Amino acid sequence: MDFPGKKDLLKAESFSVFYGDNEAVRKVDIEIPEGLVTAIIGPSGCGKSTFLRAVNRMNDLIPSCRAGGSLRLDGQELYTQGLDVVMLRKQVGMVFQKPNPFPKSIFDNIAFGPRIHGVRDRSKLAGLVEKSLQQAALWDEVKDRLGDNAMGLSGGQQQRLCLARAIAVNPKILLMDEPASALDPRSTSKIEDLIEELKGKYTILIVTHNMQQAARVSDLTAFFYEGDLIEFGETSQIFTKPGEKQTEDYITGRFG
Amino acid sequence: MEVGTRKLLDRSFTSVGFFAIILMGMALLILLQPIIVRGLKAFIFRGTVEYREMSLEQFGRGNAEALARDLDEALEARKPVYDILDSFEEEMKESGPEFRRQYRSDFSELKGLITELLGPREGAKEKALIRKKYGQTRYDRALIKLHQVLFVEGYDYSDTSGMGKSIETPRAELFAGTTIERLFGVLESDIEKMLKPKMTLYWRFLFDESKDAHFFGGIWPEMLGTLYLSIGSMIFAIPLGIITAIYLAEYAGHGKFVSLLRTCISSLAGVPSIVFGLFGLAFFINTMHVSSSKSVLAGSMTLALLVLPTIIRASEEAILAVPRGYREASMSLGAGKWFTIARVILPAALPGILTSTIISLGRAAGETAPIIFTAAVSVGKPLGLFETLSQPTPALPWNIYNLATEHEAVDEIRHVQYGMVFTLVAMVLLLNLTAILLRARITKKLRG
Amino acid sequence: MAEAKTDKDDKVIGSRLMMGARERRFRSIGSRIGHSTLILIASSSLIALLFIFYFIIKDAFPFFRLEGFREFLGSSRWYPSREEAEFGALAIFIGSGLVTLGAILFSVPVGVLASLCLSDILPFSLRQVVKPVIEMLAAIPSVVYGFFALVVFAPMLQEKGGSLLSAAALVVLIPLAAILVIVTSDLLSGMFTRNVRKISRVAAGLAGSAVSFYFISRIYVFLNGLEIASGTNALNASVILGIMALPTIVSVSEDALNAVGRDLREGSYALGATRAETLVKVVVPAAKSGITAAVILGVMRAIGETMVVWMASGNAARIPKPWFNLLEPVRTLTATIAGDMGEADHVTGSARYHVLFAMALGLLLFAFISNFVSEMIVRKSRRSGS
Repeated sequence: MDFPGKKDLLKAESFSVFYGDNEAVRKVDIEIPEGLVTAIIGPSGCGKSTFLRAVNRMNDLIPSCRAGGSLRLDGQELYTQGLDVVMLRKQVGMVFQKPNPFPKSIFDNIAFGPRIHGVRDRSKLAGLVEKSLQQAALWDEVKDRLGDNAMGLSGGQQQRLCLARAIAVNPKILLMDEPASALDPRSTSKIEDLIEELKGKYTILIVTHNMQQAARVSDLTAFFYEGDLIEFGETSQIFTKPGEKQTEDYITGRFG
Repeated sequence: MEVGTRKLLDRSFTSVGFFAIILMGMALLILLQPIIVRGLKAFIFRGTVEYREMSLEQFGRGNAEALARDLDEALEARKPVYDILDSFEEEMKESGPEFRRQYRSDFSELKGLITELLGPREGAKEKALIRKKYGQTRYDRALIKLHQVLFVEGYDYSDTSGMGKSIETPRAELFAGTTIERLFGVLESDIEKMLKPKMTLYWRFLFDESKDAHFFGGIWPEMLGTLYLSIGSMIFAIPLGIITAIYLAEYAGHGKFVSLLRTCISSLAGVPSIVFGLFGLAFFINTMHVSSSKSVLAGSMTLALLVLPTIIRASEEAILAVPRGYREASMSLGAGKWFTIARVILPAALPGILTSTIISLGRAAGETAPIIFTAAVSVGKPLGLFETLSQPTPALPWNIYNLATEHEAVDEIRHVQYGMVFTLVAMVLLLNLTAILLRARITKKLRG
Repeated sequence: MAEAKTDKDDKVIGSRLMMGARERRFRSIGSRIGHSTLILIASSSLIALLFIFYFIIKDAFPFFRLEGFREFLGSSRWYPSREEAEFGALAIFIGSGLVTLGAILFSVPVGVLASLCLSDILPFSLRQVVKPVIEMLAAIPSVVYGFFALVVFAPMLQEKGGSLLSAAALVVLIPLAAILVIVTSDLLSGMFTRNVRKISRVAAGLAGSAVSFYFISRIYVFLNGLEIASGTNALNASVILGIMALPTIVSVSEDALNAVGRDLREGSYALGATRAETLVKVVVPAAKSGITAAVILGVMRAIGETMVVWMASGNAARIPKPWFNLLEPVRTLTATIAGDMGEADHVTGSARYHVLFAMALGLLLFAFISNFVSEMIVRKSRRSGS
């Protein structure tokens, strides 16, 4: 794909992920450019989440999981001996399907990442927390109760907190694994607005099963089906004139 | 912190975690190793000719002719020892009073030790205690005794800053220059011929009664007592436990009463075992008078209370694990609730309930504190079934304590103590193993 | 023909659905009787608990009436068999506390670390090996532990106590000191500017190593020179009790750690935390109520245990000097009850008999309160959802 002025941040070449003998992502080739929002769609079990979790090597936590082929972030091969997973995850933020704030105060939730990466100065931390919460459009709602337990927030607020938590370590790329699937419509639209605002500052990779959402928030869309990347292109084009029959069937709701 | 430091900390944390696990495994090994190694020696050991003589006379076992032959050979080997002793006695008689005074007490001590080692001499007066009738029956004990004959133990207090150090001097030095000096060499070199040790398998250790306060014989009364107590406690605990579990799983809601009941069950599980013992004494014996004093019955009831919470919890879990579909299918066929529980749910939950019962059985078999005041005595005969209602019994856990702390010759019957410990541990671990295997089968079945 | 039959069947079913008045009454009485019997039997543990409290209090009460509280809790002169009997149980309470404290100091760190290892570090196959080890440790009867403590461990302590203790100290202190030095030198060097950071780090590390080497060698020499007068002492009982409390602590806290769930762990890993950071900063805080409950249960196990302390603690009713000296023999509540009842038995009714019930009451109250507290903690955490 060619986008003027945008270099490719994430590049997969014949990249596969296996769970035991089962190939969940099959020889995928994709180049994701910097600074845009890329949506990954497809029916459940198509490997879209697996692909997403491969980017910050979250799949390492599953014992039977291994990867083949090449996946590069900013030119650096991710699946190679001696790669520092900790530093990789610092550069790749992630927001999960279900909000998962730590059972700590709001402040400590946001400060968690900076703290483990060595920021100890209290005022610097406070600045970071405020900036992150503002970017996640949560600051006004919680600025008076930063010491309260994050578990007391509503589901939508919790998810924005998790987004702020991910932003606080200043990642290059943000992964979102169906970030709005557990939320009510109003919270969902807030998250979508946020994605719109964060576009440009971060490269965002979002997995969603909600086609309208993909159409609304993304610049590019990739369609996965049974582990294969079927089609990848500009969102407007994918949703109006899909090149593949399977994409068209899925988008028009004939299966999935 | 720098990434390198963080990684280092991560790795050290992991290794500390492994260390904790290894520590636990080592604790188990260090605990079990002496119990298994030394416990087996109660069953398999080198029995001397004295052992075979004891076995024939006390239990009527063994080949009388072979024993007579062995004894003759042994006596032949012992002859030099007795000859030396006799000649020294002559020497003492003939020599002056000073010589006599110098050696009298040392000599009689030596004679006593040799009697303990080889048994009373032929023609000596018959002893009343069985243990005095024979020399060392176990070759390992005989070697220890021999060491006592050869060396005198004393304490060295020359270093006044610390405790006295134990030192050993050869006993031969006491008798330097006398005819008896030769004796020690003879004993040391010919001990094997004098005692004729043979590998012996004594599986009847489990089923023999003890002779002379566990000096000889086995542990049957204790075994039987433990079986009575553990099975007796189950007779009370299982019906109570299962019915309570049925109530909690099938009938009770989330009301105040049920939550109170659950609190009570967990509190009961937390009551120290010795308090159960006191309660058993104060309630079952002194108030209810289920028996006039300690009895297996009172002990079983006390133990039943102790294991009740375990059985309730595990049975409830087993009942709740029965798939909902079973229940609904049975009810939809028009079966009543009781019928459903009795014919559908309980059979399905039975393996799980059985698992908990087996584990509780092991727990009841091993508990000591609750039976001290309610059921256990140190010495006793194996009980008949109906005597359990009124009579106390010896039991493995109590007698392990008793023999290890209060027996008059603690060191000499170590093998019996270890044998009891080994038997108890083997019993309990086998029960647990059964439970583990059973549980593995259930989970396999539930997974389909 | 078929139609006619259906018709007839319908009528029969219709009439069967309605019970006669008599049958209804009969069934309702029957079910009510059945239900109340069920409740009665199910209440057996409630009744048992009430009875235990009642009978222990009933027999403890005469002691307080005869002797009062002041001597019991305020003096450590325990001479129950003298003509002028004295019942000062302070030393015995302290003995119980000391032995339990020792056991907890050993078993809580080991138990919590082992449970972390089980829940997050060990691969599944190894976990299946470790679980039976824990179950076996839990299943071995307490008298067996007591026997081991008395016959194997006590002579070992008495003969090689100094070298055992010093070796144990080295095993614990050297890794601890190493970690401490690494962390402090890293933190200290963080305060300097970039160009001297490396040098300052090496310097701080060397200085820290020197200091810790000095202290560790001092401790080593001190412990190595110790002579233990008797192997049956508070230390012996503490170590064995600690091992006995381990299975409880490990299994309860492992349950709590597993309940924390994948979400939180993934959230932490995704921010670039290492496994140790995830466990220490996220998982353990989230599971802290369950871990607290595990510790309380471990304390209860240790304080209520009879046989080990009876056989291994030395049974001397005096306060060690200084009070935390684990190398002196102590006497505990449970051992006193077990040991003295034999002699008090014959004179049912005297203060000597009732004082043991007073001690049992102390134990019972402690167990009841701890159990209640741990249940409250667990319930509260379940409600708040963390």
